[in-house]
Amino acid sequence: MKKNIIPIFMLVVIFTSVCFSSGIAADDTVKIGVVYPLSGNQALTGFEYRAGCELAEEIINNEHPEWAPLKFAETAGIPALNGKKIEIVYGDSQATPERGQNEAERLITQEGVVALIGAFNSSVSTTASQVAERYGIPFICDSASSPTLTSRGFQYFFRVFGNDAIFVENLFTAMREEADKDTSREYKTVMVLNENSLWGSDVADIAKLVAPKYGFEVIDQISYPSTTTQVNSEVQRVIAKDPDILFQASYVADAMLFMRTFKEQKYTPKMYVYADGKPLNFSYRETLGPDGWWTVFRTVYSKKDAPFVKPITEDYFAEHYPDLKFNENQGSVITSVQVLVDAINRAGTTDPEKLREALTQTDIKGEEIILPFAGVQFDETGQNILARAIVVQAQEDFKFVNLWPSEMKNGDYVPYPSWEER
Amino acid sequence: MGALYALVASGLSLIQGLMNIINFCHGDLVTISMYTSFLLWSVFKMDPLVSIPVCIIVSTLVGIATHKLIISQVLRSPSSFGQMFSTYGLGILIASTLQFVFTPNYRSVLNPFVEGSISIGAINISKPLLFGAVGALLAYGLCYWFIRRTPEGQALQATEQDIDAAKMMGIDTEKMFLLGWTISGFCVGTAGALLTNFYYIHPYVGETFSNISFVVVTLGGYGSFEGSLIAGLIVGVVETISGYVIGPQYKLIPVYLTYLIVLMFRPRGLMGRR
Repeated sequence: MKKNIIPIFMLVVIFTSVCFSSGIAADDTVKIGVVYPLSGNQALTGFEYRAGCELAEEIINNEHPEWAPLKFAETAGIPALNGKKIEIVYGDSQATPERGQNEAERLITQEGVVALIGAFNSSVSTTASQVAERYGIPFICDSASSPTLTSRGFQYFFRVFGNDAIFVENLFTAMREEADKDTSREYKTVMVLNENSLWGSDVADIAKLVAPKYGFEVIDQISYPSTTTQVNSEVQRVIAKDPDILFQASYVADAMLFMRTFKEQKYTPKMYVYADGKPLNFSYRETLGPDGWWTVFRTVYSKKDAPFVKPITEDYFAEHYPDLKFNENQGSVITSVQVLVDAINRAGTTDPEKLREALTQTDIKGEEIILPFAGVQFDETGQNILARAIVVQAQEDFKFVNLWPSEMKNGDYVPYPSWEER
Repeated sequence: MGALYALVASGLSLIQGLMNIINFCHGDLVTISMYTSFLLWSVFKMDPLVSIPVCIIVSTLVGIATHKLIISQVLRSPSSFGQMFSTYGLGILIASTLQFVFTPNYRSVLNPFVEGSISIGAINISKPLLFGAVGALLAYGLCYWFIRRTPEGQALQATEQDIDAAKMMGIDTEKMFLLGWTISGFCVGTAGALLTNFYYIHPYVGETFSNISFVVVTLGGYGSFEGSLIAGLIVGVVETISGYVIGPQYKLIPVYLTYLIVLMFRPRGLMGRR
C-alpha cells in the first residue's frame, strides 16, 4: 500500500503543477509579466506598483468612457485582438538582482508572458532584462532610471521613464535658477550622499559630472549601504564638510533615518535636494511629518491638467486603495502597460518580433497618458525621448509646489529653514 | 547601538548554548516586539518605554510557543538541517504574516516621550539612542544577575554545560529550556521596545538585526553571555568609528575583518568555552 502512495502522490503533484503553471484558461487573455519587490525591505514600493498594475488592467479591460482621452479607457480589451483582455502575472524580485532574474525566467518560460514590465530597482532591471533579451521578449522598463540600462545595445529594451542623466540635469537646472533668485544666501558647494547600489552610484556620478556646468562645486561624496542600521558617521561627515546644498539619493527607510539623525544633530544645509521623489512616499510623510517639509525633489508625476486625472487618481484610486496615494509608481506602470498594449494593437499580434517592431514606432501623445511627459517616442537605444522630470518643493503640510519647468511652475521656492526656525 | 546589538545577541546566544540550536527567527522576535510596541502606541497611545513589559510578555510567549510546537519536536530529529530550516521557515512565516496584517508600510512612533538630543559642548547625543543604550545595559545586567546569582540561573548554567549531568542531578531540563526562552524573550522584548523609540518598523526589520547578532554571537563565543556583551559593544564601536575615520561606505568591512581576525586566532570566539 505504502509503495503505491508515493507514485500516486507524485502524479497528483505533477498534474496540478502542470495545470497551474501553463494555465488551462490561458488562451483567452494576453499575459503580461511584471517583476517588482513584492516582499522584503522594499515591499512597500512593490505594493504601490501592484495597485498600479490592477488599475492598468481596469483601464485596458473595461470600458471607462468617463476617463477619455486616456488611451484605451473607452474600449474593453485590446481592439485589434477582438477585445481580448490582458492579465498581469506577478514576479517577486525581493529587490535582489538574482531573484529578479529567476522570476523573469519563470514568467517567460512557465507563464508564457508576451512581454515583461519592471522592475523598479535598476539592478534588478539589469538582470531581468538580460533574460528577456536572451529569449527575444520585449522588456518595458517603467521606472528604473539608471542610464547604463539603455547603453547596452539591447534590441528588446524600451524605457518609458526618463533616465537619471535627464533627471539630474533637470534638478540642477532648477537648483541654479532658485539659487540665483535667493539673494539671502550663497549657494556654491554641493555634497552628494548616495546609497551604494547601481542607482545611487549612477546618480552620484552624473551629479559630479553635471554640477560644474551649473556653477556648483562638489566638495565630497558619501556612499553608504542602504541596509544600514545607523547613519551617525555619515551625518558627522556631512556636518564636518557643511555643504550649501545636500544632494541625496536614498531609498525610503534610509532617507527617514538620515532626516531623523540630522534633526538630532540639529543640522541643516542651505538647500536639501532628493534625487528622486521621497516626499511623495506615504510612509515618509507619515513618519517624518513636519521634519520632511521644505525639501526639493523631482517627480515624474504631478497632477496635470487633464479631464481624467481627478476621477482616476482621487475618486477611483482613493476608494479602492485607502492606504495609498496615487504617485509616479502607479503612473509609470499604467503608462508602460498602455505603451505595450498600443504596440500589440498596432501589430495585431503578440509575436515578439512584430511586437518589437511596433514598439520602435511608438508615438503616443502627451494628452493620452497620465504621466506629465510630452509623450512616448523611443530613440534607437530604446529610451523615451519625450520623458522629463518636474522639480518640486514639499512645503508646509506637504503642499507640493512645482518649481520647474516654467510652464508648470505654480509657486515660489522657500529657503530651507533651520530646525530652530520651524 | 552596540549595547542593543549585545542585548539582542545575548538572547540568541543563550538559546544556542542551551539547546545547541541556531535560532534563525531570532530577528523576527525583535520585529514582533517592535510591532507590539507600535500597536500599543497607536491604539492606547502608550509610550514605547511603558510598553516594555507587554513586549517582553509577547515575545516570551511567542518564544515558548516556538519551543513547544517546533523546537522540542525537531530536537528529537537526528538531522541538524531540520533544526535549521524549521526556525528559518518560521522566520519567513512571521515576517510574511506581519506584512499581510500590517502591510509593508514603514511605521514609526510619533512624538515619543524620549526625543531630541542633549548637547555637551559641540557634541549632540541622541536621547533615544542614549536611552536605548542605558536601557539595554540595565536589562543585560538584570539577566546577568539572574543567571549568575540565583539558584534557577545556576541550574540553567548547569544545563547549558552538560545536559546529561544536569538531568542526573535532578534538574528538570525541559523547565530550563522554557526558562531560557523566557530570558531570551526578555532580552528581545526590551530591545524591540527600545528600538521602537527611534527606529522604523517594518516586517523585515528583524533581518538587519539578526545578521549582526550572528556576528556578535560568533565573535563573543557560542553560548557565552558575557561574550555577547563585549562583542556587541565592539561591533557597535568599530562600526561607528570606522564609518567616521575610513568612510561610511566601508564601515562594515572593519566589523567583519575584526570578526575574521578573532576567529583566526581564537576559533571559539572571545569568551567561548573549549
